[in-house]
Order: sequence, then C-alpha cells, then structure tokens
Amino acid sequence: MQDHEIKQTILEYIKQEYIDDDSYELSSSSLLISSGLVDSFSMVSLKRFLEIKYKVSIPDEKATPEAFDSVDSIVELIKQYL
Amino acid sequence: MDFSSPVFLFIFLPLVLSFHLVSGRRNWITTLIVLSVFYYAWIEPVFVFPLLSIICANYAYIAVYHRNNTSIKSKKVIKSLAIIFNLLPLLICKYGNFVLHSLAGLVPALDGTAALLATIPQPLGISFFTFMNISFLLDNFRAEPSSRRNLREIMLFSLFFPKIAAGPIVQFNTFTKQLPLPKKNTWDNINYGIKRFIRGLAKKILIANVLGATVDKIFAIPVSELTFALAWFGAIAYAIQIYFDFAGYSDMAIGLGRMFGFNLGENFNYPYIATSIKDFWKRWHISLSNWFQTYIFLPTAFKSLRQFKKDTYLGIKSENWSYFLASFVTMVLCGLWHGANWTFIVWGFYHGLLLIIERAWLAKMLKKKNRLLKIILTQILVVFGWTIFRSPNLVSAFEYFKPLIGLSKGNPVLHYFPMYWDNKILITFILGLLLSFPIIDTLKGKLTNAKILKHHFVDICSRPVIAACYYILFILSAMQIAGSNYNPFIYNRF
Repeated sequence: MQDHEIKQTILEYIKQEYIDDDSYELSSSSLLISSGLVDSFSMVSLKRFLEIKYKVSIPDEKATPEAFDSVDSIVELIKQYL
Repeated sequence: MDFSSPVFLFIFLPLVLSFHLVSGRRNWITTLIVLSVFYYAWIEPVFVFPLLSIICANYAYIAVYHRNNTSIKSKKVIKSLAIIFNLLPLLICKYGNFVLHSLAGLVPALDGTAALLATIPQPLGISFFTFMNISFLLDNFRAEPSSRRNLREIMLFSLFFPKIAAGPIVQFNTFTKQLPLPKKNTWDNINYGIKRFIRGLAKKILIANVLGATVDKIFAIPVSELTFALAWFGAIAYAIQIYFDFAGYSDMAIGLGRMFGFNLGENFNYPYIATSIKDFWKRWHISLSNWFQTYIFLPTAFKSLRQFKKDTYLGIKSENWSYFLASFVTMVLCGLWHGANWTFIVWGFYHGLLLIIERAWLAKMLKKKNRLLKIILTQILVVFGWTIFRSPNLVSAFEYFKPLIGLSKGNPVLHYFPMYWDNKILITFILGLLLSFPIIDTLKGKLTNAKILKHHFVDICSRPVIAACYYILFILSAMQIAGSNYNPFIYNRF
C-alpha cells in the first residue's frame, strides 16, 4: 500500500470526524494534538479506526500523543505494523 | 525551608547561586545532586536515605530488565515489583492510615494499626517523587535497551531541589535531554530565573497568603451562620488563593530551574479563563494532567475500547463509553492523589462526572454560545468543586453548598460582611481576580508591537524601570514575610 493512500485516508477521517470547519486546510504535516486542533482522546478512536481499516494491531505504548501529532507521524507508525 | 522562607531566600539561594557562578561545569551535576540532597535533608533528614535507596533500586531494575538473558516472564515480574516498590512508601505514609481507619468500622482490630500508621509523617513531596519515578520506570522499560541511563542523571532528575517538593512533574527524557548544561547564556538564564522567581514569590506572599488568612476565618464559621454573600466571597477568595499559591510556587520552581540552566516546562495557563472543564484541565497543573493522560487516561481508554465488541451500546457510541470510563477513573485517582480524605475523592468524582456530562451533551449545547458565558459557567462549577476540596469533611462541604445556592440565609448580624474584609483584603481580592486573566500578557504583547518601544533608546530606558518593579515586588514580599507568621504552602501537603 502506498504512503499517499494511507495519508489521504487519515486526512479524510480526521476532517470528517474532528474538524467542524469545512474550509480548514489540513495538511499531512499539520500538528494535531500539540496545536489543540484535536484532543488527545481523538487518538483512541483514530487508533481503533486504523486497526480495523488496515487489519493491524498497534501496541498501546506506541500510541503516544507524539506519534499521533501529525498525519505524517501516524503513517510512519502504521507502516511499522503493515 | 520552603522557597519563601527567610533561610532559603537569604542564605541557601544566594550561596547556591554564588557557587553556581564560580564553579566549573565539570562536576556541576554532582554538585547539584549534593546540594539537592542537602536541601531535602534539611527538611526531611529521616527520609533522605529511603529516597536514595529507591533511586538506586530503580537504576538496578532498569539494568536487570534490559539484560540480554532476562526472559519476558521475568521482565513482567521486575516491572510489577518496581512499580509496587515505588508505590509502597506513598501508600503507607499517605493512605495507610486513611484506608485502615475507613475499614475499622467493619474490622475494629484495624483501628490500632491505623493509629500506628497515623504517627508516620508524610515525607515532603512524596507524591511528586513517586509519580516522577514511576514515569521514569515505565518510559525506560519500554525504551530501547541502548537508551542513555546514567545513575548521576537519574539522581539529579529525582532529587533536583527546585522540583522535589511540589513539581512540576517532568519526564526523565525531557529533563535529561537538556544535559550537559549549555555553557552560554548563564546570565540570561539567571536574569530570567530571578524575575520568574520574584513573580512567583509575590503571587504567593502578596496574594495567596493575604487571602488565605481570611479564607481560613470564613471556612471556620459554622455553615448555618454563613450568608450568601460571605459564602461566595469565601469560595471565590479560596479559588484565588489556591491558584496563586500553586502557580506562585510553580513560578518559583521554574525560575529556580532556569537559574541552573533547566527548563522545567509550564504548569499553569490561566485556568480561570477556561471555557469548559476539559479546557480547565489543560490549563490547571498541566504537568500532573499530562502525567494522568499518559499513564492512566489513555491506557484505560485503549483497553476499555478493545473490550467493546459493538459500535454502540444503549444508543451511545463505544468511543464515548470508553471516554466516560477513562475520565471517571482518571479523575477519581487524581482526587485521591491530592490526599487521603473523602473530600478529595469526591472532588475528583465531581470533575469526572462533569467531564462525562460535558462530552454527553453540555459541550454540544454550549457550542454556539458566547465565550464569556462559557467561562462564567465553567468557573461557577470549578468554584463549587473548590469548596469540596477546601472543606474538612464531606458534611461541611455539602453544608457549604446551602448558602452558595441560597438555601440558608445565615446570620448577617453576627457575621457582618465588612468584618471579613478591610482595604488590604479588598484590594488583594480584586487584584487576584484581575491577574487571573491574561491582562499583563495582553498588554505586554501590545506594547512589544508598539513602534515607539522598538526604538533602541526606549528599550534601554525601560530596563531600569522593569528592574525597579521587580525590586519593589521583592521588598514588599520580604516585608510581608517578616511581618507575618502565616505562610502555608497548600500543594506541599500533596
């Protein structure tokens, strides 16, 4: 699976689930948690979405706010378990 | 010898700072460890050796855990053993008496042991020390075996005197990645550190302590005699006192850390402008909130969500159930962390409940509402929480709610409102209320952007004025310390 496909899927999920403003331009390098754009709990549901979508199991201890702070870092994390 | 005591201000700090300036960098870590041990031993001579033993044991746990021939089963045993070993002093000294005393109703024989445990004093900063060491262990158990671990750095991390009594709770990697300390900017760091320390000292001495004496008087009045106005004045004054007490302490700790070249992170961000309870916890005691988020909230949420097999239960999404459970568990434990008393547990329970209500419907209901309305509503809820936190027991706490919501009229003749405030209290109350909002920061931002202040000449002229302001603040604080015996540190007890 290509990086950009994963990236696109995550970007769409975040926009749809967590961002109210449709005009907000989210990029793969935008800071998500540290900027306050999404709260830290969002990573719990995002992790579950990713595990079901890509049939992977991400260890809880690897799912840190730092690892979920941008779409780029999330892709890097997912790739370790694909 | 807390940070606002004369011994610390006029003997210990000047000596340590002079030492810092004249000594070389080569043995600076060792020197800081020795000074930190001396500081702690001055206050708690009996507990220094247990603390040092825990640190050495933690170093050994990590070393054995990461040895090549340690099996997975042994690793699990080591991990559990290490956590229990670190929690044990906290459980015995802080909660032993409370638990046994609560159980003594069922098993009267426990009353004797509870009385025995009550005689063991609670070591200074034991909760902060324990939480920092547990985070050190958990982070290092999951880290690569080759990660940097050095006994001297672990000792400095655990004992560094600016943060040992009441935080901020810094993570091991955040602290040690600042080592070795930079050689440059020492004067800049000392200059910033002194200013930050004086700001904290003034918050603590000139606002928190002044209001604290009045708060004590109001909370000592029999609740049936409290009037609506006096009850609200007491509750709001306590909200200001606890904020300025702990934010003041944190400023002093952060300032001290910076004087020695460390950035300890921020602990407060104007919690009384929070627009929701969730927002409040992002702004209040940030280092503790982060600790609970990393080690309790997220693991509980991940684990509980895995247990839910369906997407919804009773029409509520599984994610939301998981959030409810994690928030509830986290906040009750957070309440318990503050002390062995039912008031703290119920205070945590109350905040957990508010977080659940907020997520379930309140946040959606208030989404389009005015920001000021959201701030006022949030702060009313927070103040109700503080009355639980401040009261000596649950009965007094709930009794205090009666005058707050107008259910008890009190005795306005016996407790004539102006009896509890004079000009000094009134000015301090208003000042505390105003400074709870980011007025100075906003003003500073505007002045920094003003063209005239960018002029080099104006910049140079403003420096002595700023220095004079800090000098006056320090003199006023020192005069207040000299003239008063009232100097409690609320968070030192935790």
